[in-house]
Amino acid sequence: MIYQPVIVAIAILTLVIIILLMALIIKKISRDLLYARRLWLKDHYRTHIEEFLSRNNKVKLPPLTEAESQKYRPIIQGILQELMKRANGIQQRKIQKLFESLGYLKYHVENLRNPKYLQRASSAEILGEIKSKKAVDTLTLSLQDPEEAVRLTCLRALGMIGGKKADKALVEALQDHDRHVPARVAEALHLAGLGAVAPLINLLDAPDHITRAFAAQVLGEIGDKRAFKALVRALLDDSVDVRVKATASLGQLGDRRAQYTLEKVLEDPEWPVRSAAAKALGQLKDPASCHLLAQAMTDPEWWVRANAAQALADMGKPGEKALIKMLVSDDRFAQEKAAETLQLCGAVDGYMLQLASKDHQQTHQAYEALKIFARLGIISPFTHFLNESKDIELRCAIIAFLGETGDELAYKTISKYINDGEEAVRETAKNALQQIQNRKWASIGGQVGLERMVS
Amino acid sequence: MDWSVWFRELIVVFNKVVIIYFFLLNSLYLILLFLGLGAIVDYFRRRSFAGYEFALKSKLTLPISILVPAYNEEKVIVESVKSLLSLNYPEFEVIIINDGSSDDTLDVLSQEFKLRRVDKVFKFSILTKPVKGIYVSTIQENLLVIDKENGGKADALSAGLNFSKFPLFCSVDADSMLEDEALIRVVKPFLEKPNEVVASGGIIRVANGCSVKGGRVIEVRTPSNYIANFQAVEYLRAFLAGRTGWSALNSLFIISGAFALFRKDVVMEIGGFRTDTVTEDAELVVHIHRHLKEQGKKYRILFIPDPICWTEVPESFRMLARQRNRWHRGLIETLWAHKRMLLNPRYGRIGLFAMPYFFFFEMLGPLFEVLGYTVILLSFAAGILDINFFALFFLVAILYGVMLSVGAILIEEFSFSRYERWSDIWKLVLYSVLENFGYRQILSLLRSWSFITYFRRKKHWGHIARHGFRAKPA
Repeated sequence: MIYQPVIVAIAILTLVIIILLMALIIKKISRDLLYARRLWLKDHYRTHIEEFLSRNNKVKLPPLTEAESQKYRPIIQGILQELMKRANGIQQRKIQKLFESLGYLKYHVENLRNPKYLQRASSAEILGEIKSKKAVDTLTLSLQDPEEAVRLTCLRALGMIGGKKADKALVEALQDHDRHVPARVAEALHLAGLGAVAPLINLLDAPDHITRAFAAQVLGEIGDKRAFKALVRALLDDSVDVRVKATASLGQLGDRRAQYTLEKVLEDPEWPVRSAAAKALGQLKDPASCHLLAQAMTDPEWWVRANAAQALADMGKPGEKALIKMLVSDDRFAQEKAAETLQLCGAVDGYMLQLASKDHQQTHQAYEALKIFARLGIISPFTHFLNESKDIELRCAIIAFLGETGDELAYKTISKYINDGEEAVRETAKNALQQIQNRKWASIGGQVGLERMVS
Repeated sequence: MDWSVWFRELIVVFNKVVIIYFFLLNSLYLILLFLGLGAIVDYFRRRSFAGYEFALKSKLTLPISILVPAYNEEKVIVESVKSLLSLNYPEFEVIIINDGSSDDTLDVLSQEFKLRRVDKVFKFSILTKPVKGIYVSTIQENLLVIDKENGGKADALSAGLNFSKFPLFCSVDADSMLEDEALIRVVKPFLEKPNEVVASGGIIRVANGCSVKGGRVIEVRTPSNYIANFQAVEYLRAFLAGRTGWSALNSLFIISGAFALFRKDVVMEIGGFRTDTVTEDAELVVHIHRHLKEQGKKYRILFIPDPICWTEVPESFRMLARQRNRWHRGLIETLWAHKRMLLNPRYGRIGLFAMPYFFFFEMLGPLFEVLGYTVILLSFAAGILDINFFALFFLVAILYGVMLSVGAILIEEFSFSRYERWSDIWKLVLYSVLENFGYRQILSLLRSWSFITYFRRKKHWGHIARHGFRAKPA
């Protein structure tokens, strides 16, 4: 019968499922028991190890017997890894010595040649966390491992260990695009920190542009001023990627010597470079760049304009002044972007607060700036402020301002306040509405008069 | 030949075809289950040294724009946004797109996150329905809310893309909550193979019944509603067996739009989300496959089994029917739009395996199942149903199906073990048996009905009533 094999197959499968269900029950029960035992062991050995580490350096005997240290290796090395994370220099050296004296260093270095890739990766990770300099050579060799997970773990381990040898290995890895993802090597180099600066500067002359670009990026992330000159030189690189990263890194370094060079970069033929230059100038915060950034707001590329506007906002008061000037620009985008940036950076709120100021000069300055907003039909900041503010004097000042400068949109906003709980606000709102009405009638009247004259 | 004899013969032959169909379908599921199991075991081994902590501290970890389209989500939107804003990730922005909601979605957001309207200028790369207003939060720097006219989910996502500023974007449903580490886990393949990976998706799990606090699931429980329980089993099977298996074959055909991460440049290259389909997420993935295969590029689309996205599923048959109808209609639309990929060697495994599977088993399957059940009932009524045959049908269609569902639950319990209580595990096992006696048949009927609605071409958000996430009792 042809059905028989099917029935047998399904019966076997049912049996397997039942066995698995039983296994699940056993797993759940044993997990709880094992967890409790593991927790007890961890507490026990942690106390032991912490006591040992707090003693004088001269004590050389490990706090455990050899049999114990081998039997409970996963637990003990876990404790050492945890302690290492929050240890200072001397404590770290003590932990490393203990790790070595327990035979774990030897075990993990040898384990890097284990046929199982999971074992190799696990050992690389532990060696990295213990920051064992003695493992650098083997970890460097393991950067050629056929398994990607092992290579990645070795990169991180070398980054954590640092030092000349490790940095050299990482710099070489950054140029090996077949085996390593450049961004991940760059991360490890960033972790290595200041020690990697010199070799990274040399990499700015590497033959391939990907290496040069990542070297430029990491130099910016590390933020060491020794890289300044090399990064300025990299601005002349043929590759757009390298120029973009070098420009961004100069911004991150925050060295004002870069200002003139970055202003020149605003004329680069490639928009990603110009866009990075605008952002970098914002990071330098030199008011002298404001006029060039304002010009960059009319750049043909959207991202350059957006970054230039943001850079001006980052500059503080001088940038705000430049943005206010851009509100009356002929370029519609620049006008709108300036308005948006001024709202987002809180400048508009500042002007509204100034409206009720006793200082006449301040009030006038705020009035002039806000007038442009009202003319552009940007009412939302006024509405928001009126809704949020509890200050009667200020609300009256804003309503009066809208009455003097606003149009139909402002009319709608003010209408909400003719029934306000505060008499002063109601009165100001009525007057403001009247003002807008009068202007409207005058405009219509003028128009009719003009039409009559023409006819 | 006598007509009645001829008819009987036809029914007997058809019954055999039905058995072969169920056997093939469930065997395919079994293969996917084993592939999925292998992939999950491998994933778990690698996860222990994936370097998440390292990536979280790195400045080279790619920033992400999270896009959340929302339509009448006033009950769940605040919890969802809170959950997103507290994600553990170095740099991200959250963009909520209120797609012309008729309820108070915008108001509740405005109150909770102190929104402020701004006149923002943006790069208009994809044409969408008009944007009515743009709001920034005065208390959360990385939150942006876009209020636009109703245009559907795809249109809302496209509007979000116009405002996004990062190279990767993640679409998340407004009725969903991501786990703390979800983003860093789903982005990991992009960090390891930046030139190859173009999209990745995480697992969607049922939040009904779970306790939620501050936008986080703090206690995982099975739902109290029976329809939601059936779906909990369904989701486990679909994700842990189905998608993990397809991902292992590098033939992932669907990534759930409830939680998916994409490379923005690739999506922009194909013109963003299509608005003429009801399941823009499925269409987008198939479109990416097609585009990149035609370009001859090497790429990967992956499913990652442990970044979890918790979602609220329908608790009434009416809502479930609406949802499944929309999903199936979307599948028909997608497969029809890309029919040239079917059995076309140019599209590799996608054209030769995934596409035929989805075409014959997922799209036409419900029709065949409904016909099969009907004919078996007819044969029983006509007295021509052999008892041996019925037993075999029961084994192949029902018992085999039960085992697959139990298998998925076991994978969950051996690997993720999210359900702590035995009562929840047994409940899931019970529902995996019960779903084969009524629920599955009703779903087949609902999905078959979608062929009719497909021809009517009715489009809507397919919205389901929300109850809001249950806060943990004090």
